[in-house]
Amino acid sequence: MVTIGTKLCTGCGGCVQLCPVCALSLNDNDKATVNDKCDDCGICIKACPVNCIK
Amino acid sequence: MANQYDLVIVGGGYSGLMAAKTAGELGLKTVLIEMKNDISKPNRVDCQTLLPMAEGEGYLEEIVNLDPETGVIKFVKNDVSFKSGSPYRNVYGFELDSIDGQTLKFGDPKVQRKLGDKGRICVALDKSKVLASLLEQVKAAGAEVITGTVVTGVSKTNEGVKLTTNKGNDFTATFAIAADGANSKMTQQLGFNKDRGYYSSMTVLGYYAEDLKLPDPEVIYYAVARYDNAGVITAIGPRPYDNKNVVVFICVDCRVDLLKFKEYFTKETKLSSWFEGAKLELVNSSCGNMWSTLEKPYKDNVLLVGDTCWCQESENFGALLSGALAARAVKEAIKNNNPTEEGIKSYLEWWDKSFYSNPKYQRDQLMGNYLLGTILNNEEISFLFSKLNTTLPASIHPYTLFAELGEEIGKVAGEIQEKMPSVLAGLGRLQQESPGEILKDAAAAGFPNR
Repeated sequence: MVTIGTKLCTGCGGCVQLCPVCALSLNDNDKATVNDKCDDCGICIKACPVNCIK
Repeated sequence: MANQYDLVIVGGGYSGLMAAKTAGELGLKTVLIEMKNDISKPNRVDCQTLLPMAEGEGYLEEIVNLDPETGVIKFVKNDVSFKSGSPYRNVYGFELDSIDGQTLKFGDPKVQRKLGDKGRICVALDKSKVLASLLEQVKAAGAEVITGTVVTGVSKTNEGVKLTTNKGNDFTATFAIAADGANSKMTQQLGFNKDRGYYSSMTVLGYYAEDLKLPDPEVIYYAVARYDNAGVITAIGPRPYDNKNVVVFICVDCRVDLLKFKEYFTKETKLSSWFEGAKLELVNSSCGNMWSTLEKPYKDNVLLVGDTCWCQESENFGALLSGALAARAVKEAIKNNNPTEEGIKSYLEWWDKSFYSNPKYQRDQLMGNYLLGTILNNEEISFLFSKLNTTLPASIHPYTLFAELGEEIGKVAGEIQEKMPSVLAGLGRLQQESPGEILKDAAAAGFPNR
């Protein structure tokens, strides 16, 4: 499962929309958060403009 | 038991909010679903202007007015209007810059400014304030707004359309409007992206800046650079406040590290003098797929608006207008008891006539500014701009600008051919190859959500 550095996350939601298995959403503070549906495909890692997903 | 509506709108940006406001005002039972909790936080700070607005210049067969007293923005021919809720600032020129300081001006701001509102090419707005104002108007119109919720599925039903969400609550409606932007999950799920032209995946960093030292504060600057073998644009425009600007770094190749580029651009190029003593605050980032325009923005009782159905626009004009007109078409279909493609045909006719089949809009030309840094290196860009030392007509029209530029280049083609033939060879690719071909390496590294 990917990990998200919420300090850098700007909440743009690009990863949320692009995730093929709908494993990402935005939390109450509009930061990206991941659930256990994540299958480590890595699309969100490529897409994040501030490199906050590993 | 699902919640039943006339219309469910996915996405709370300019197009979705405009659709919800219009639908609510027309008496439709409407709900808008947005993935963010705070709708007033813009996803893309590069889009803080309303354009094009040069005197006599139309777009999408429309003319837009801004009432300076009330802040009401009105699309005159379609009679669509809303309260902007934002201060505004006139923009009097557009300028392309090479990173070693060669410039190409569209309009002389000193001349344009003397003309007042008639001399502006567009207006800068505070996007957060516009989004907040639109949200207020949506609620006043009686539409429901649900935030912090991601739509995960869309399917056709006998009565219309059904949406599922990550919160487990379903929504059924007669129609849906997909307003969820360039990476639209709706467009993807409806199957539009399977055989759609894909250019590349773009990344963007957006900063708010204070105390920049720009040649003129009321000009939009596009610095065009080649960096890490990719084209990067640094767009700088005014915010509607003194000494405040938006600075946006945009790259059509997602492999480029824009945080590194920002350091390079603001410290090591000739334009770094603009940034001495300035304060930059990162306010947002975004990533988005650039898809070709759809011929028909409709399928299975879902109407597509804004960036979901055409290549990302930054002018907001099309998003606002398409949202309002799609909602109007839904009202007509429901009023006439005809919840079908035939029922909403006024939207599809507008789309085709004003945009898709309109010969004025060669859609691939929209990509021109993004491609310069891909087809030319920094030395070639600088040389090209140095040879075009005339001031072109004041405009920031996304489609006609590059046609005008092409004409000017034609006038000095002989001299360019003699001194730096590689410039013409690079530019020739714009005519011989599609944006998809030019960007094929970047596209191979991208993340298309087919």
